[in-house]
Amino acid sequence: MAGHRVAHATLKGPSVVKELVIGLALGLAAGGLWKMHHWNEQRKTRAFYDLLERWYSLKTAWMAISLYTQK
Amino acid sequence: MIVLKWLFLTISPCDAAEPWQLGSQDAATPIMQGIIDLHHDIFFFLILILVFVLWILVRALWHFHYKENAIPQRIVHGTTIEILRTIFPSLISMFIAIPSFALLYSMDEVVVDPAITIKAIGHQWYRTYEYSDYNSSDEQSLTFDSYMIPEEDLELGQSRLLEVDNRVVVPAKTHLRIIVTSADVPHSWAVPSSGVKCDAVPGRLNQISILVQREGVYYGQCSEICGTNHAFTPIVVEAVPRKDYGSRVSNQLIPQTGEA
Repeated sequence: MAGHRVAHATLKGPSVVKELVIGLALGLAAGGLWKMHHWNEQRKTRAFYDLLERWYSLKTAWMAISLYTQK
Repeated sequence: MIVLKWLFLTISPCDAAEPWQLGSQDAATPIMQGIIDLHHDIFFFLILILVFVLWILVRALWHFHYKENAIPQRIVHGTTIEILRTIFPSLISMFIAIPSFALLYSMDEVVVDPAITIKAIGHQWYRTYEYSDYNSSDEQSLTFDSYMIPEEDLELGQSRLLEVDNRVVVPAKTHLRIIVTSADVPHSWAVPSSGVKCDAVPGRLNQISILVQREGVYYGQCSEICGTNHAFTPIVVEAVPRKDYGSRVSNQLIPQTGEA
């Protein structure tokens, strides 16, 4: 029995670097999805305020025209 | 015009607490927009670290399960990994700190010449608002009290525990200064959609500057325990067009000041 070779677990151990890189890649992918959600929200907010500004300009122009035509 | 109006009818901003709400209310001021953006910045790092740590944990459990790996390793140190796991968290902390401090100091910026100053005074258990900009010499300020509308007096469509009889009317797109204080115990004047929470401390005047970017009605609640009716002293801010502000304020206050 002493002569037999015993397979040791460390010879077939996982690659730490590989696991760290895969973990980082997954983390960045998930974070990237969140960033896309954030950019989409920002785009919707900007579009809302742009629409609001256009509404105000149109309303002001409409009121000016109404006042002018009343005269 | 009609198309624009129709488009707006399909957009309903969230300016009050909603049942089962998970995220923030929609921003009505640049400060609140900054707070939301900062939250999104930090949440990116939170997700990155969460997924990374979960992956490493699961893989460690997978690789070193006692049935797969009967003989445990005896690793006592690893210089490279120790350097990396010190530097990366420091970098992440720095990336979080930069936008955080930028927002913090911009929130502290005091607007030198606000258009309107409103005083919000906390009482047990109602609010008093004073508009003192329109005084001349010894005239009394325009003052009114704001009480919660009880549940039995609510109309259809109104929110429970959030509506008040007299709202704070402010002009939209105008720099405002709100001075917050209390007449009895500490209260707190909070309006989440405006990104405002300011403690009302008796004997102290706290000042906040806000700029409401869009017209609407914004709801908040007392945020400092002040007694038995702490949950029943809401705040309602109504932002109106600048040209309507004067008439709205005078109409609101005529019943009170008419007797004076």
